[in-house]
Amino acid sequence: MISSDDKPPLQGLDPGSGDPGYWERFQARVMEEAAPALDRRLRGAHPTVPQLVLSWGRFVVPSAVAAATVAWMLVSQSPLPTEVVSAAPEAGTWFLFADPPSEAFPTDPVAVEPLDQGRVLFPVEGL
Amino acid sequence: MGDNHHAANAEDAELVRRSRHGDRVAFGELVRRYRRAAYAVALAVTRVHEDAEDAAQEAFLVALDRLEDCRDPERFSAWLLTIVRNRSRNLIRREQLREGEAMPFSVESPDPGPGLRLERSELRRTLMDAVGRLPGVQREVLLLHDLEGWKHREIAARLEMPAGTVRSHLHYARKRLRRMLSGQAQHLVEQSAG
Repeated sequence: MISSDDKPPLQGLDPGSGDPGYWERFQARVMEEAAPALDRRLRGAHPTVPQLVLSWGRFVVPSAVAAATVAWMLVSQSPLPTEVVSAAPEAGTWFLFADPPSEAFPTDPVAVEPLDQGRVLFPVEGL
Repeated sequence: MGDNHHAANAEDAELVRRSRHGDRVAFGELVRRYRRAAYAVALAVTRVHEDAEDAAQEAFLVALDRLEDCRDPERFSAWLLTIVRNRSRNLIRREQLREGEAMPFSVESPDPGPGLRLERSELRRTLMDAVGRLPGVQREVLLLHDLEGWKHREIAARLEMPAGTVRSHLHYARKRLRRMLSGQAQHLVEQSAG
């Protein structure tokens, strides 16, 4: 009596049972088909210098373009002064806007008079 | 040689990691480890040698392309066998779309002579007819255990089911197969007597 747990004779379904080289040929076919994909992966894992530069370029160029675009948008959206606001100079700051009196800044060093502090400081003291 | 030896002793996860970097030896070792199991699972689904062979080979190439999708490389075999199953089902669908093409059951091998070839072919046909009538999961368990020599716990891990369920499937598959094969043998005896 054969137990139902005895192995059925399935060896006939093994293609390698009647053909000892079957599994090696199977392996060789898979490896041959896989060669291009493995090469791609190998190149990706150990990039050459040009590939490295190219890969950097792929990251850097779009980033730079994006940054430039954002910067341009920010600049173009900020309100530019279209006219100069002409506010009357406040007392004490007149010298920033008005032409200096010719005698205050003599150009001829020979003609420089002794410093009269009272004359120079007067407008400041006028604050 | 050293690489081959190292690959043969490496864990699946290590081989997967190396294959991701294009290591030919590592990927070759994965193929060597699981080629028979892949074929068995494909045969369980397609029931045709040529289709099983195609599906198993395609599955390895698909697996290589999608290695990054293998989230748990320690369980590479379970992931691979899922791909094998899907490729096999796709292949069957494609075959069904082709109208009524006969699928001869034969094996590409050095010609052993017409007599032996016929005998082998008959044996395979008889076995496959019987195996093909088992439920899918029983077919898969039976082929992985009795054809490929996997252990219950290995099948359980790779098919993601409890070991007890694997034993149960195996028990019923063998029982049914034996009944079918003995019925066919009886039929052949009667034919030859008649």
